[in-house]
Amino acid sequence: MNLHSSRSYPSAPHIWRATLSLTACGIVCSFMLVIGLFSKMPQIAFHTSFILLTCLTSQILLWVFRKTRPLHLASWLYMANVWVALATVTLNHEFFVRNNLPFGAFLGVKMMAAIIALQTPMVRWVGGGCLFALAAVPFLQYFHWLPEIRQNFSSSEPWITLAIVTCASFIYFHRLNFFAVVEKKAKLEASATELRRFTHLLLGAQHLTNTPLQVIEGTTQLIRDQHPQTAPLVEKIEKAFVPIQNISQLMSFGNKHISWSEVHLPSSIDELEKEVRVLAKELAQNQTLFHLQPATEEEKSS
Amino acid sequence: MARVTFLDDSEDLRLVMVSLIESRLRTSCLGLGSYAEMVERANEVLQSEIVILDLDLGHKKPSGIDAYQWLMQQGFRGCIYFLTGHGRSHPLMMAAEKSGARIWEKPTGSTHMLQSMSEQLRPPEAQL
Repeated sequence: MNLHSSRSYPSAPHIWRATLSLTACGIVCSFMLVIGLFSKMPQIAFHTSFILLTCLTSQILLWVFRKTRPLHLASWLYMANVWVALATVTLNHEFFVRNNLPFGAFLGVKMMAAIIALQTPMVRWVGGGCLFALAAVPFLQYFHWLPEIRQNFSSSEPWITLAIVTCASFIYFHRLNFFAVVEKKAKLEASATELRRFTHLLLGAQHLTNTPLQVIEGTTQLIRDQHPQTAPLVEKIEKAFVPIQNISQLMSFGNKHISWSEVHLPSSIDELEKEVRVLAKELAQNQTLFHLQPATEEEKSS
Repeated sequence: MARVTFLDDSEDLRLVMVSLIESRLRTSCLGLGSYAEMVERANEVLQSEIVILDLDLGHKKPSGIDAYQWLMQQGFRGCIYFLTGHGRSHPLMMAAEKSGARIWEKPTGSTHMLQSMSEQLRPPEAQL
């Protein structure tokens, strides 16, 4: 599974992209509304200008944090954009109601619910916050209106809108659960790959060191034979050799877990160095992707 | 004719082991660097009493397992030792061990190896 190409993974870059696209749409729509309506409806143009200013502020923040891209900031910006869009829809409803203009009841909210169910990044509080706002705001707006205004709408409102937002919530949280399963599987696969690479690396290191160690051991015996007066020094080498021997044998624990038909152990220090670099890079990538933190004392003791 | 043959692609290890075997066991030892060299000097190798084989003889080259299989095909009757670092769990090594070959894991003490070899070598009078 290639996590880098996964579209549903809530990495900060993904949320930034979603926020960027949403903000760009908001800016375009707001700009068009300002241009089209300014001369005829200054009030709505005023509200739209406010929305445009909010979207511009988001873009400035995106540009300022383009390198660091903290996940929380990206998530807040995404939710803020959704709320701003919801505010636009709500204000539009107010405008149409006050001017007795016909409009599809809460059509914008229904469209936003569908979009959020399918597009919102997999961060629980972001999706939950957006869907909660989509459920609460139309509901509150509807009952804020006077009864004579409510008569202009279908008797099924706002319940139909609430039902659609509820369905959207089910879809979103199903996506969330599915993603959790996929994420867990990806983490396990990444762990297994890391472990295999690490085992291979240890075997490679052991493979490159065992012959030189054998040469050292044999040479010390020859030195002892040819120069008996060096026996005390040779004994020190022999004593130091014992833990090295044990460690070397421990490093070969992975030889029971490799596929002998496929394995190619490094035949030189350069090859071993390349493997070390690849493993270090994968470890760093996995740490970033899975937001891994060092184990706490409680986790270690359990 | 050498009584011990030592096959390993590491020149340093060959020199050290041949020197040790000849000095401690007081017997001749033939050092070879590859499977091809072993086949070239087949007469001498097959007359040895002990053959010590390294497993890894170089990338994409015949290994110690190939050397073992060649010895078996040639009807070698002596004692075979494998001197290997990581190949203990290789299926063919385990099969060879079941057939009577012995395995030393690098790095292993020379004294232990020489002791084991001296028990396998026939006394000089028995060769006459």
